[in-house]
Amino acid sequence: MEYKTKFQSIVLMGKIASGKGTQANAILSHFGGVMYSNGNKVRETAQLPSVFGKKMKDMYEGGYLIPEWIASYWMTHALVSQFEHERVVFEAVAKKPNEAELFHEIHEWLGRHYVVFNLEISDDEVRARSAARARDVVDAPKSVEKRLEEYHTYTERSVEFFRTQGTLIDIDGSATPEEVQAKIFTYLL
Amino acid sequence: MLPYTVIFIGPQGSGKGTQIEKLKTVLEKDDERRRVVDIQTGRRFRSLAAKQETFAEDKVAETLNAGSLQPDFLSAVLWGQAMVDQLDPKSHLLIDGFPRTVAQIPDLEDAFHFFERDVIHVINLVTPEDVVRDRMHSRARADDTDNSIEERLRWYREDTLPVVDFYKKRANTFVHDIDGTKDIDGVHAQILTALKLN
Repeated sequence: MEYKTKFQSIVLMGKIASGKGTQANAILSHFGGVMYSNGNKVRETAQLPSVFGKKMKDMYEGGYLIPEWIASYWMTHALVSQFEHERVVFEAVAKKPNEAELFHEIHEWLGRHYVVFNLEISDDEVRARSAARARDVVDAPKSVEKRLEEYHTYTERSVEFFRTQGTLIDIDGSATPEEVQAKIFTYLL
Repeated sequence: MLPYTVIFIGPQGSGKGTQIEKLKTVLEKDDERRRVVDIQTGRRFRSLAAKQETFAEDKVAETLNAGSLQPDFLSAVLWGQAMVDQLDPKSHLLIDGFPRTVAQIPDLEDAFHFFERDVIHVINLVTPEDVVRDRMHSRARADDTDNSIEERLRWYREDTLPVVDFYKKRANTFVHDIDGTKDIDGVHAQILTALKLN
């Protein structure tokens, strides 16, 4: 942890394969903090022996979207209780506009500084990168198209919401990971 | 017996907390193996405020002392935590303190759907404002100043009564109007009759 920043919450937004995970890890290793991702929460919870855990397991294996109240509950809990005094790097939150508004409202109430980095790449770049990495089923062409559609339907509106709040920074995500990282770090420092 | 899901709605001083305790005792006696989960967000807020250890708790205390409403997301995190940690398909669920506004309804509906609790009962403690004022002045809790009492009555009128209207139209829902001016045992007896527990 060689660097310091005033931002206690750092959000990475962008389409699938835009480099959110890579940049989140780079931020964590240089600025410290914890990673928050709904995907990890679902996988962790699905292991629990409770009734709630079993329901989440069925949902995860069935490929259903997690209910909005659970996503909101987890995020709120992380901010007001679990990681109140820690830096949190968020990957894949506020995908829907309601969640973005909630995220902003909690930060205002807590007086907690946050910034959102929007890693911009074209839909064609998404297709090319996903085909090249083929990390898991999510990178299959059909799934990529579905997620692009979700991005254009919901996440674009979240991005616009953060832009109107003055908390969004656009970053050209088509550059190399090192170049993207340098731009993000310049802003954070 | 099917598991009960009961939402208590009534102005401050209508005895919601007391009635939940009494109903809980009856339900626990009826079947000792079945858990009764009671979620009272007001009490949870007050115990958080009493700790004042972290920033969020400080903010909760500040809001309570000013007599203003806690933000919706805080009430949602309190009931969310209780449901996630304690609720199982057989347990009875007793709720007080939310939804206090129509805006708080969708998340709770989402959660009821998730936990497969579509049939709900609403205990509507109908208590005139004058009765409420008299009771509030005699109980003298730290957050009961004249101003905060009037503010909370106004919120109840403007924000919470529309919640009762919502439940009157909701499918699979039984709204029971209970005369809240009766004494504790009188109100309790009406609730047992409404829920067919006697």
